[in-house]
Amino acid sequence: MEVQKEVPTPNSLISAKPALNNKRVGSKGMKIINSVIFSIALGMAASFFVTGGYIWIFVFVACVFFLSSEDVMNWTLLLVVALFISVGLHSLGLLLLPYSPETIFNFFLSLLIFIGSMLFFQHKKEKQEKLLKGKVEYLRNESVVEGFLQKRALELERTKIAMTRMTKDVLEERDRLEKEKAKATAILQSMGEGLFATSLDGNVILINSVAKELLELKEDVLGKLIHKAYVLYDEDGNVVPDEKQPINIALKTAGEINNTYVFIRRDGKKISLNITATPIKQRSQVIGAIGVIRDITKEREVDRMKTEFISLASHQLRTPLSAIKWFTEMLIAGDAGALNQEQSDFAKNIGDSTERMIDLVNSLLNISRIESGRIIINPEPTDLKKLVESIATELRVKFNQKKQVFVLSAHDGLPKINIDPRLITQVYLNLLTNAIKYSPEGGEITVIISRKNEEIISQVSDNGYGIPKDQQGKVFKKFFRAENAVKMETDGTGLGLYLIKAIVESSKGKIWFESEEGKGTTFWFSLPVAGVTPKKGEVTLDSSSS
Amino acid sequence: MKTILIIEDERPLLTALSSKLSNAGFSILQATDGETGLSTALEKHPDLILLDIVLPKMDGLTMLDMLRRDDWGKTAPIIVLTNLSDAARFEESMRKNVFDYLIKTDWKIEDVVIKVKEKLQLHDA
Repeated sequence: MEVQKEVPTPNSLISAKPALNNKRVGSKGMKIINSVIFSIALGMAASFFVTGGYIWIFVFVACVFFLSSEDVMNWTLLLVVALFISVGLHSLGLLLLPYSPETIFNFFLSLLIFIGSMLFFQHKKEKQEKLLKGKVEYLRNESVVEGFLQKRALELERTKIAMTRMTKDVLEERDRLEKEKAKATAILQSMGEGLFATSLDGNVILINSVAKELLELKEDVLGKLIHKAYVLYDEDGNVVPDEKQPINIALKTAGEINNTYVFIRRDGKKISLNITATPIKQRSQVIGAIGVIRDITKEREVDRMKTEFISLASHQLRTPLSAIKWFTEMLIAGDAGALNQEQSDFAKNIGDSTERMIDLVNSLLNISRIESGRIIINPEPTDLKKLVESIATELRVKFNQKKQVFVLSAHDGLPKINIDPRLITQVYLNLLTNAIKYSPEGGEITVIISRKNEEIISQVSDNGYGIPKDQQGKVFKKFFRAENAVKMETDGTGLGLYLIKAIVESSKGKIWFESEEGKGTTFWFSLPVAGVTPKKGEVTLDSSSS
Repeated sequence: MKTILIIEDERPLLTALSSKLSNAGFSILQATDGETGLSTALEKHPDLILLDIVLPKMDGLTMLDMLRRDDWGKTAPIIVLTNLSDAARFEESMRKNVFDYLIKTDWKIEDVVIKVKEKLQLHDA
């Protein structure tokens, strides 16, 4: 990184230390003086050999004061050697010469001086070493300080680098955040839904252009109470009061609310707005709310058109079918004179086919109603056993035709449950009609109603043809009919099970089955004991058995 | 002899109903649109009106509104006989005090006759 270059290197710091190395023990001049003293001393030693005088004392005094400590050792060695030679020679002389007190005194004095000088040098040496040690210690300490400083400098340098990096990161982060913010703003502004956010007191803190457009807000509403900015009407045309404004409900109840309102534009056009208000929570504390506004005017229109279409189609298809149905009935009833057997059979065939056609139309209508979610659910306390009994009565003729036995068993103490009997009748009716159709003559069809925890389970079993294993996955698919079923019974639309699955699910239940080819089929469906809640819709189901 | 006014724009259905009901011993009046139906009803005061909903000129529910404004028409017995099976129209009809709302394809013509007889007997009683 380039920033690193600006920082002084550790080396430059080291070079800043004082030039301690220059202070050496003994200079060049001192060396000359020492050398002169040494020469004199040597000369004195030689003169001692000749004279044996006391000049030694002066020599040593000179040595002590003038010799540099460092050189003393080296030179003394030479001097000692010289001394030994002189003493040795002198002693040799003693052997030859007669003892005199002067000679003895000179000998001991020389010896004393020698020992004394040795001790002195020893002391001097120790002193020197101590001094050296001190210097080394000083140097060592100095390097510790230097190391410490160096370390601090490095730390500072690292801190600086880190700070520089951090600053850069912060800048980059700010950049990134700005981009993110711009992106989020762009998304909010260009989303198809209107969006606004308010603080806890309901003041607008954010609003996108679609919301402004939908609510026709011209002036700046930021910081103002959102519900004061426009007037909403409910679907019955009443003004929605402040406390029932979606945002206020969301803020007050801390729960999401979704509702459709009517807004009247300046041009007088009424539009349907679906508003979802959601509280904004921070650590489970409501701090504001978000409102999403969707213009569903077109959806409503399409819905209405679909309803119209279904209505029209049903009418258009049913009108000719009713004519065929009624005229065929009149023919068979002999309104146009008695028919012979063959004519009567033909007319009955027309009648049967017409019924199938009517059934198919009804099924298609029911499916389109269920799929559009506009089906009415009108629950009332229902005794399922009685409901099945009445359906079985209706089917009595069909059971008898195929000599099938019908068995109904309901567990004791089953509660009445709150379901829409018209819808659930369709379920039983479809399952039983299938059981009759797809079981051979003399078969047995059973309905068992029981309670399991919070559900009422209805079981409808037959010992009929069964559903082939490889086709069981498609049983609830629209227009599906099992291969064996198609071969045995040409009658059937493949809509029945699809429809009843939708009905059961709309009643908060589940439907499932087990089947083995050649052995029979059992269907189960569950309904909650708690029942279903009423649902305002636009359509009910038409009777159909397919 | 009881008189029944059949307001039905579909010729085949009108024929079938007329023929079946006259065979059952009723006197039949016919109308193929709402306006004619209304005027016939107000003029002849039939004992029962079989009313279709989808009709030319004036639809069945509008005709019913107009009829209910008339002194006689206020309580005139009516059976709606239609192929429109949506809840809204059913509810509207029931609000307007019709005796029954029958879906043509779901009803055998024989059963329509039974219903008519039932209504007229109830009315008589």
